[in-house]
Amino acid sequence: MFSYSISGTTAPRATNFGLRNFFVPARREKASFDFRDAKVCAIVPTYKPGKLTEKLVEDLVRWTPNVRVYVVDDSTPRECEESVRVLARLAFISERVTMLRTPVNKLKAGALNYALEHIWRECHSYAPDVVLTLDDDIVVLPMTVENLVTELMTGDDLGAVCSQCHVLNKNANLLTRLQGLEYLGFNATRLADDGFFRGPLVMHGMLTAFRASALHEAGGFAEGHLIEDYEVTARLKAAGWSVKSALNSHAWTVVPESFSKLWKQRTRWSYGGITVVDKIRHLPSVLQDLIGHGVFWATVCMIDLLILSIVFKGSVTVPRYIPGLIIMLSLLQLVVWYGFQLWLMRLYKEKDVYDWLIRVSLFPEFIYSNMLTFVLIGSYFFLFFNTLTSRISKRSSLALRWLSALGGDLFRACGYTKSWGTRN
Amino acid sequence: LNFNGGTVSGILGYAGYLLLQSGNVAIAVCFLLLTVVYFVIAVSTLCRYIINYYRSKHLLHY
Repeated sequence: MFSYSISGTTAPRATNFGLRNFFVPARREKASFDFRDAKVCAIVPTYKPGKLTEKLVEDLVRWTPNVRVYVVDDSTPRECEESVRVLARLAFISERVTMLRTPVNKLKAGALNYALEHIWRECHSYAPDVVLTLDDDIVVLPMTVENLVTELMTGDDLGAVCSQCHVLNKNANLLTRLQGLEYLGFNATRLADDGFFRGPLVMHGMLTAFRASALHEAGGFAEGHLIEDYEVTARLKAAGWSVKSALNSHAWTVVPESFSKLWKQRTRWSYGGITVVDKIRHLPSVLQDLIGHGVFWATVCMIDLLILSIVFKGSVTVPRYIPGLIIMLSLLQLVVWYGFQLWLMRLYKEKDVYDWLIRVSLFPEFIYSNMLTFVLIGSYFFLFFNTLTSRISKRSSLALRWLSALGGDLFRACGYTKSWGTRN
Repeated sequence: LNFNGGTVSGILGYAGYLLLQSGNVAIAVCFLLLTVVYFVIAVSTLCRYIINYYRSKHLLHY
């Protein structure tokens, strides 16, 4: 995709993972690295920027003197006067801030690639070791970027490292509090996946540091994809790189405050994830999702078989110890999971009494988790629908085309589309 | 089950009650195996978390 060359570490050779890796994560040796020697480019794609974007760029310039910041205005309409004023002020923050504007709205992946083209083109004068990608509405701490870059550059096999995620507006309502608790779980899952078959599933778009040579070798981001962060992570892992999260690099983001916005975000994440799994050739890159989808479908099949066996009752008596074992294992898993969730709260610095109430009572998170189950089931139906309709052409019958359009409208009404991208 | 889109959580296992009435041992055994798979996924994730937590405990607090 990029016609420029960039020097740097090449992808490490394939690592052998075995069954032991499911229980004992691989360990990596740390190389020495001085952050002051690093050349870092930070890309902030933005659309209709606000005060948070201005604060983010100011903080990056103030706290990390060896970072060059590229703000990519993704064709913000000139009518948005407040955003235009913010963009004008950003240009004068520092000489290390470069303002770029896409010729047409390209959405997030396109805006990131637009900046990457610019960076690679100028790499004869400033060749970065690390490329940071940031959402335009995040809040960082003074050591966030330094810790993130140091974590990346001290691991020779690492292609990308992401920050810890926290919720900035978690006190807005019950939904944002649930997301705050969920993000705490995301951070825990990423820690559990460090050293597990090349690392966590997704290096999130909120704040991730990429090894410049790895990102260049991968060809940047896939434009028009539903979730470009998952897609590029899968490609990096397929190329032999490992990924991880930096435990001492913290960033806060704004999460959806209404159910409709949250539903739309999750349908995009869920269906986008399925399309990544559907298209990837190197299956270990998406191992966690493969296990999840496999077990989920096994569960659906077993429930169907159970219903059939109730309808067409067999004549044999099922030994009581089998259902007993099933119930015992299920309850034991609940106890282990519940204990872990309560223990995890000690790492949740922003928690208050309402968060404790939500976590202890179990019920809100039970409802929330089942909502995500419905989102996932809808994504399977949407994939099936798209597979069927991809065979419908202009030569197909009028009734078939009408049915296809009707189905598309129905899925769109439920929040499922395949043509959007992340718009900042 | 941890997906890219969220957790789909701590586990339905009503199934035991229905299996008693089903009169089908094969399905009961398959359901037991599935429950074991869920349990192994949870325990293995917890094992990896604990090991990584103690390897990097000093970095976790901010």
